[in-house]
Amino acid sequence: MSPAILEFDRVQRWFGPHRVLQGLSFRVQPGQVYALLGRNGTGKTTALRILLGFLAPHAGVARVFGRDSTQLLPEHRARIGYVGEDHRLYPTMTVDGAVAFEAGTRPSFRRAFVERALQRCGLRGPHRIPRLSRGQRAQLSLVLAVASNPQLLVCDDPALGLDAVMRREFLDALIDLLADTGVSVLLSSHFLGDVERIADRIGILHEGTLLVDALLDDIKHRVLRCEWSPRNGAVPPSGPEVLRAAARRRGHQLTLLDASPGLLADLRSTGDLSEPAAPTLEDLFLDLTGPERPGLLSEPFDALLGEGPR
Amino acid sequence: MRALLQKDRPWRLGFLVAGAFAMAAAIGERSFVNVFLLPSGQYEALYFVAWIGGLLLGAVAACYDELLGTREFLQQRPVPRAQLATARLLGCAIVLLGWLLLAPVLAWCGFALFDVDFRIGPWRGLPGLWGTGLVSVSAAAIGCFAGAMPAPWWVRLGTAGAVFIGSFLAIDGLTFGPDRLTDAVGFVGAHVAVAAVLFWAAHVAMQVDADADRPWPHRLRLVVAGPATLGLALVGLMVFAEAEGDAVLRLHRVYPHPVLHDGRVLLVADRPEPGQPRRVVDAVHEPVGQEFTGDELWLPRDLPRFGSAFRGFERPRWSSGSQFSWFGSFEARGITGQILLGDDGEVWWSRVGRHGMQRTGRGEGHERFAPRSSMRRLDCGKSTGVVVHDADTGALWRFDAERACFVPAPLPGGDRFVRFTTGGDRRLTVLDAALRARSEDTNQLDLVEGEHTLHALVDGVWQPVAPVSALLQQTWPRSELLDADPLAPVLEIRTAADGITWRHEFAPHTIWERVHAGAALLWSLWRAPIVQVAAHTAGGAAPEQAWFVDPLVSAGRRTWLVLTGVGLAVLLAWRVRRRLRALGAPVAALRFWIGAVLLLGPTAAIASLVFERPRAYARRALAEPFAAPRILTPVTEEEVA
Repeated sequence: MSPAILEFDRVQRWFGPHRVLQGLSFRVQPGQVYALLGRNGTGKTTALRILLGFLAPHAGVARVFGRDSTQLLPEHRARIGYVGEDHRLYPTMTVDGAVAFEAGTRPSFRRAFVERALQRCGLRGPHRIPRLSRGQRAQLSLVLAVASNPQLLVCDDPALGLDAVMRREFLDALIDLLADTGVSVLLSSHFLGDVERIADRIGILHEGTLLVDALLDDIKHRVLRCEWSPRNGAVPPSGPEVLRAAARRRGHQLTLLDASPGLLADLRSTGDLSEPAAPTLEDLFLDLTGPERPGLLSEPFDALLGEGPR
Repeated sequence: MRALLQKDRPWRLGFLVAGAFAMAAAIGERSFVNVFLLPSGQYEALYFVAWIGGLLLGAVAACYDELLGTREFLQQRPVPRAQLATARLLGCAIVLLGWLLLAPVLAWCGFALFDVDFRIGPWRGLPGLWGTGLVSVSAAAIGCFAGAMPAPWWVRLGTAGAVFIGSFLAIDGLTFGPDRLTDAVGFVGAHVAVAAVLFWAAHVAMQVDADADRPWPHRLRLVVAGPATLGLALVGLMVFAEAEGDAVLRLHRVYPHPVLHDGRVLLVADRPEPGQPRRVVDAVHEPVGQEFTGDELWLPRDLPRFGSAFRGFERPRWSSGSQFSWFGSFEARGITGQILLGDDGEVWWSRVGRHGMQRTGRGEGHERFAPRSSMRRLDCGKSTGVVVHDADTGALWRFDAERACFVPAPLPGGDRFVRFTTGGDRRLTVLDAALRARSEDTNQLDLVEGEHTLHALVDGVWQPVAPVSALLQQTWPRSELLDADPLAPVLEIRTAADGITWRHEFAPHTIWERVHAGAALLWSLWRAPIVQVAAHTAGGAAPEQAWFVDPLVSAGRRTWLVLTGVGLAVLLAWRVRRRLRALGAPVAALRFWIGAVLLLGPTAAIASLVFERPRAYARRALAEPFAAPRILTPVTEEEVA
């Protein structure tokens, strides 16, 4: 197997007494867009900071271009583009200044590309950075990150804080920029719809461990969702094929992985089974990372009122 | 590098402009005469502006990207960390150089516009201005060093305070000479050394990311924790010395006082209670049943002084400054004005009502006096005159306002100048009667004491006042310290008139004397062992150096106290070693802190608590294997392709 662009190998990281990453392992292949998903505080940003060498792991190793991320050299960094979650740029600069600064600190810089991209985004040189909208700052960050022709683009929740229109524009820009470049992308995001549009492979991080590390297409084929209303007091099935069985007003909502024909036949024989269908990424995410204990939104509404299921 | 410098331009420009103008304003607080013409050599406002500006500059240079939140945005680019650090320090250097060059120029321009005494030419003030402004460099290094530390804010602030107070007070204390002037070479050299070491340490620290969950690399421990611990140790030295000095002062207050009674010297203790009479005590300070009547003569009791390190953050004193004097001659056509004698012997004068200073000096050629000559206005009779004593030749020169120069004014009868003196001196009360005929206010009488006679300058002519022997008849009893140990001084008092020689060995005998002496010994124990050992083997030191050279152990005194202090350090080092081993610190860290505690004592032990946190050493690795993802797509050849 060819070497991965980046690799997390059993990475562990603590902040004080809190375990943030517990043996995180995954690889991103050349040209692949890998989306790292997870709720707030699950360790996405920590993983990216470890990857970029801003933080050292307590155990395990993260490698970029085959090199330990704690020992990255300038030549390795030259092949990495980075868009931070808050699109940090120097507030004292203009757009032109930011471009000049980027060009001055990168060995290669596609100035013509930047000019075209800025024109497309409606960004003008004399504009001062603090006067740009969040969306414009995000686009400028992205353009600058891509302008140095990186082999790996790391985006830490780049759409955070953007409204729907801005997010769509940012995503379009990203797709445009990535087209035919062969650049690998490691992206963390909260916006699952966006991820579905661009990611090849996703990782769902929960409480420091990966629950999912799979190709998006594979997930769509292997995971099914259905409504099941049991008859004669039948209980919902359990086992590795059942990712989640959530109680609903009438029966249960089942999320199944690699469901065998036998399991489906059993479900049909013990209750009414709706037609299984592939869930959306958002549904799968919520199924896997939703609260284990019943909360306000995970219990049937009638049960909350004390009436119980009818 | 150019892009990095460009990035830092906002703070660089802001500090350069604001700092240069602030320093120029601080220089302009003095007049042109005091800065350039006859430099006073003491620039208090400039000193304060320089170190405050320097500290801020260094801190901002180190923390600029952290404050803007662009630290990682900067670090992710392909530029070596060392280059990022160098760019920051280079920016700092540019601002500091700009300050040192621009501030005098701006001040000079301000004087040109607004000061009537301005003239082009005299540049003698520049070295003093640069010397004083140099503290901005060392202060910037301290700010940069503390700001660059990969540590929490409270540690950085504490380190900045400790290193600043420690280094500045130490340099001040060590370079401020007994002549009350600053040793220029020592001051400049020490500040440059501090700046060089701390800028280098900051350069190293800037290349390490803060991580509270990991111990520092050993190099960082050496380069950053080392100077910080040293700064803390210096502050500790001063604080402990201050407390020790306070205890010694209290001890001296409760020691009995010698008085002269019926031709005998007695010791009188302080009042046991307010309102109660003072009691006479014996050699071991026990009351002998005799009360102090109040008509005894109090004898001088000059016990050893215990100087404070906290002279204050005072500006350096490059020279004793120019001597200033008004002159007036009511009978000489009403000419009045002022005269300034510089430390280098140059004299300038100006007449009231006319703008601008004019150069003057000895004779019509306006020759300069010898350096450190002294000037005095002599008020007597109906006029005031100004006399200069030339330090080289010993000759006296009187200012002649009509000729606008100094003319020779030798003392009559071949008498030779001894010193300037004043009629307000208690010893000269005998002279009052002789002088009262000539002046209404004897406290304002200024005289010249010759080898034989006192002389007054009356209307430009010397007049003998009284023989010097009249002074000698009133010789006051003299006390002499035979042993300057602050806890147990030996005092000898001689009275020439009565022919008495009295000696007493003070020692703590009473409860309060023992309490205060014990407190002084306890504070001495906490001082850095290496300094105590050095003080013990070295000779005595001036009272001003007491913060550094402990008078309780200096010159071979109290070996047991030094050994106890060393023992305390050994005990603390053992405790530090035990703690660090329990944490799991590497051997290099153990060696570093044990060495630091043995050399610097308790303050190093405190520093080890600050810099070696349990959080950094917590054992954390989870046992493998880890849970596999619930949904996993194995990486296939097709995916790789």
